[in-house]
Amino acid sequence: MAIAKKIISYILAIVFSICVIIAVLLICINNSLFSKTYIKKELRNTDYYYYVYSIIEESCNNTFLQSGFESKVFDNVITEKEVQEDIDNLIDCLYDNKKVDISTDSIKQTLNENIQKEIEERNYVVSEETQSDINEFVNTILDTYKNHIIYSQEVVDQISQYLKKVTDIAKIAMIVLSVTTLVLAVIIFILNRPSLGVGLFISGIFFIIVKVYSGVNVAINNVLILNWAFSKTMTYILNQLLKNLFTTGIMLTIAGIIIIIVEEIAKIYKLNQKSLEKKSKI
Amino acid sequence: MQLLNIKNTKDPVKWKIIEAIIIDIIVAFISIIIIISAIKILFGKQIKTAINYVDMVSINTDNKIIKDIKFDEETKTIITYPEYGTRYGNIKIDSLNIALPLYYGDKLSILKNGVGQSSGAYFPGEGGSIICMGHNNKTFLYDLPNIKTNEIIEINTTYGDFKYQVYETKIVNMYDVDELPIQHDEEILMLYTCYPVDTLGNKKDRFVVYAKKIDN
Repeated sequence: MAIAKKIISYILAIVFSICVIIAVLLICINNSLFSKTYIKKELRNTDYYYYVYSIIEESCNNTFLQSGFESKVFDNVITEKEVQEDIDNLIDCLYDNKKVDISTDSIKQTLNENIQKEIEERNYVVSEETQSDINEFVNTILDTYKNHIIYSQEVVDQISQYLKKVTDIAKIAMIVLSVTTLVLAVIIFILNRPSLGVGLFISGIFFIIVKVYSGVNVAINNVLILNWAFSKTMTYILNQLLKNLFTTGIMLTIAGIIIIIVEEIAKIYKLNQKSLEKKSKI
Repeated sequence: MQLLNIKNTKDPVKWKIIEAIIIDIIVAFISIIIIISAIKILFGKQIKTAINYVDMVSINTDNKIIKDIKFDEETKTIITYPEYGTRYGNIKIDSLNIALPLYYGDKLSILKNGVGQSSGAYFPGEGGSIICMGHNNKTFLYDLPNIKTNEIIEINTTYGDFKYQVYETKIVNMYDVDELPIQHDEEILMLYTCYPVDTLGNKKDRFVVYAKKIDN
């Protein structure tokens, strides 16, 4: 009977550990990749806004350098603050499943005003063809700006569509798993307390293995997606995620070992006490 | 208190405890092996594909960058290439009073500083097409459209000096890449800038200068 109880408790410990693994993964992902507050915080931490601003400035410079305009035409047209506001707006739309719309009206207005000023200063006679080239120049600048903020409207719309659903499902799954894990923990606690430690130990070691395996096999730090600013932020977030999983793994392993030792000592001491009492009665 | 009392119990109890702990840990490790094997069986392919995708979008940082260019005079080939984005020479057109730094690469950040050399073509001295480009403002190649046939373009690099004589100029559409053919058996320098240079706004055309290598 005691052996059967023990075997059942071990099987439940495996199920419990799987639940703990999935629950921890969901908690970590929910609090990082699925949290717009976290993403915005990490974008600030990795200077993403500034890097995107630099990339936009550099790309616009290319169009600007071959345009024939003086450098002051580009003064105050695009600011870092504007870039930050538009990226934040994009993230809000992404996570709230709203249509992403980046307004470039103020950039267009400032650029047109600066161009008009320079044309007047230089007494330049603008032909119909030149006006069309100027309009195209302005549109190229606006497109460059928009493209570096959104990258791909189609992909953003698709992600936005699924992100909300996935986030909602993850939240429900997290609640269900937490309840299941708790129920299992109670059952194991009643059946064989040390098995609770075994379950925690399994989950802990699993996360440590994940960290070591990903460190050896996946070149996260070399990832280059879209541009280096985005890649830098992505690798930072993924590394943070792995670091959190590793820390959780260490904590679960230690907790597991402590529970196993303490509960086994207590259990065997109790059994020993019982047998001593029996002997003394006899 | 209970734990402290164990000290007073007999040795077999201690062994029982150690045995129980070892069994628990063995069970835990066996379970880990089972879980990992199950993951490998169920999601092994997907994990491999995911790792391959990560590798595909990863840049190899193991390659050592060699900053000094070594040129083999006999075979006319470069043995060690410069680091992408570094300046390795100058480009000079005396007739137009143009003297600009020459960089390896054609990224926008490079073109901000001087003339860029396309990484998809040959290096000066290698015997094939060399494609160079620069912006058309007054700091860079504003005067390039004034170049005439037979005028000389000089490229001075860290590994040698090369001279090219202009034999043709063309105005081509920016998308017409056929106008910049890669020759493997003849050293031709193709230097271009946006055209026209004296109008405002976007430029759809490129002014290309074709020059053949001549002996120094």
